[in-house]
Amino acid sequence: MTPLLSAAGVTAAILVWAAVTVAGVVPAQTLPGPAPVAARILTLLTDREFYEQFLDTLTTWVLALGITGVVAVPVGLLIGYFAFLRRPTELVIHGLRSVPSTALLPVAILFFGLGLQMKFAMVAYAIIWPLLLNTAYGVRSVDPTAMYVARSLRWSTPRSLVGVVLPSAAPGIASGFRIAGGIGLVVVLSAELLGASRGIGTVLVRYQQSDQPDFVYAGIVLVGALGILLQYTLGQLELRLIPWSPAAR
Amino acid sequence: MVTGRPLGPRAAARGWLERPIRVLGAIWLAVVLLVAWELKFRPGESVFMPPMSAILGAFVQQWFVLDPGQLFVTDHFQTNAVPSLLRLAQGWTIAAAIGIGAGLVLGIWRPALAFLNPLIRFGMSTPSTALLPIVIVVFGITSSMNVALIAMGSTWSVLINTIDGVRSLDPTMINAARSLRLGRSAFFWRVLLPSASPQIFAGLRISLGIALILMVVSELYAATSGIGHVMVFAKTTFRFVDMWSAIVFVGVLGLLLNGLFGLVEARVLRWKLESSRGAGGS
Repeated sequence: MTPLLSAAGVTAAILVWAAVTVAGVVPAQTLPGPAPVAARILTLLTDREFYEQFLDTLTTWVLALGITGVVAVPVGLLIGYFAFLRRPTELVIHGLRSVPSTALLPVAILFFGLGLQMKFAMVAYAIIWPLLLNTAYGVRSVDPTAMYVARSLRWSTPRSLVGVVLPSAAPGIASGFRIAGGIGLVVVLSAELLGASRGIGTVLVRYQQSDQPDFVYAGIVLVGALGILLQYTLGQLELRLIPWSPAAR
Repeated sequence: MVTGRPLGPRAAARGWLERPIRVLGAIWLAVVLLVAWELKFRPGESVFMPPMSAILGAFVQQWFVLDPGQLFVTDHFQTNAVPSLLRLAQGWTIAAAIGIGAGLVLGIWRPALAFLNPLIRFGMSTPSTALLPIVIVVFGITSSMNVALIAMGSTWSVLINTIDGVRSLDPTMINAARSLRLGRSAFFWRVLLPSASPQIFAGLRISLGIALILMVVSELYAATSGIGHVMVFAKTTFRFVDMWSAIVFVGVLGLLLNGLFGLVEARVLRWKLESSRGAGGS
C-alpha cells in the first residue's frame, strides 16, 4: 500500500508540473516542463564533461568527510573523555560553529584560490563542529559499568579509549557523520556556485547564465539524486560498521 | 540545564572563589586562541589577516554607537544588517509555519505522508544552495530571492522533526485520551502538540542555523545590501578588516540567536523539565 501511494505521489507531482507548464501559468524560461528536463538529464548523464565535474564534487565531499573525520573523531573522544577539556572546548566550538562557513568563503578564496583545496577547507570548517560535538556527546553515553570493568582490568587510558569509549560512542559518531554529510554537500555546492573553478555547481551557474533553465533543473535533479545516494550510503555503512547502533535494530 | 544544587553554608563560604575558577576553567581556551591570533598576526604580517584587536575594534566601531537616538546602532547597521535580519526573520518564519503546519498534517494523516514521502526525501537531500540559480531567475536580485531561498532550505528540518514528533506519540497517551473521552481538538492541543513540541523545537533550532547559512550565501551570490554584500564589497575593495568585522558580526548574531532560542525553548518547554524532575507547580 505504502509503496503504491509513494509512486502515486511522484506521478501526481510530475503531472501537476506538466499541467502547470502546458497551461502556461509560469513562463517556460522560469519552469520548463518535465519532458525537456528529463531529456536534459539524459544528455547530462552521457556528457563526459558533466561526469568529470560531478566526480570533482564527489571527490571533494569524500575527501573532506574522510580527512575531517580522521581528525575530529580522536579529538572529540579526548574532549568528551577528559572533563577539564569539555567546557573550554565547547565554548570555542559553539563560538566558531555560529560563524556560518559560507561567511568565510571570501577568506578561503584569498588563501586557497579557486581549486579543490578551497572547497575542501570550506567543507572541513563546516563539518568539523558537528563531528566534534557528536563524538563528545557520544562519549558521555558510555556505560559507567564498562568503564569500571576496564579500570579493574587495569587497562591503560589509550586502551580503554579505543576498547570501551570508541565503540560506545560509535552510534553518536555515526549520526555526526550523517549530519556532516548533508551539510558538506550544501557547502561544496555553495563554494562551487560562488567561485570555485570546477564542480557541479559551476555547471549549474554556467547554464543559468546562458539562459538554459532546462539544464539547470536537470542538474538540480541529479544533485538531489546524489544527495539521496550519499545519505543512503552513509546509512548502509553505519549498519555494516556498527551493527550495535540503535539504527541497526 | 537544571543543576538544582542546594547551597549549604560551606558552599556559600567557598562560593566567592569557586565562581571565578569555574569561569576561568571554561574560557581559558578561547582566551588562548584570541591571544595567539593577536600575537601571530601583527600589523603588516599578512594583508588578509589583521590582528584580532583591530578586527574587534572595527567590529564595535562599525556596527554600534553610543547614541540612544540611533538605537545604539550605526547607519552601516541600518543599511546592511537590518535588511539581512528582516530576510532571515521572514524566511525562517515562513519555513517554521510551513514546516510545523504540514508536519502536523502529515504526521497525523498517514496516507498523505506515504503519498508525499519520496518528494520530501528528495527535497531534503537536495542541497538548498543548488536552488540559487532557480530562485534568482524567478525573483531576480530582490529581497524576495533571499527570503525564498532561506524559506525553501530551512523548511525541511522543521517538517521532518514535526512529523517524527507526532508519530512518536506514546500509544498509552492515545489510549488514555480515548478513555477520558477527550474531544479531537482537546486531544490535539493538550496531548499531541505538547508531546511533539520538544522535537519540533529541535527541528526549529537546526533550521535556524541553516537559515543563517543561507542568508549569507544568498547575499554573497547576489544582493545589493546585507551582511553578505558587505563581505563581498569589502573583499573586492581590499578592506580586509571590514570583511572580518562582518564575519564577526555574523558569528555574534549566530551566538545571540542560539542563546535567545534556548531561552524561548526553556520557557515553552518548562513543563517538560519540571515533569522530568518530578516537581509539580512552578
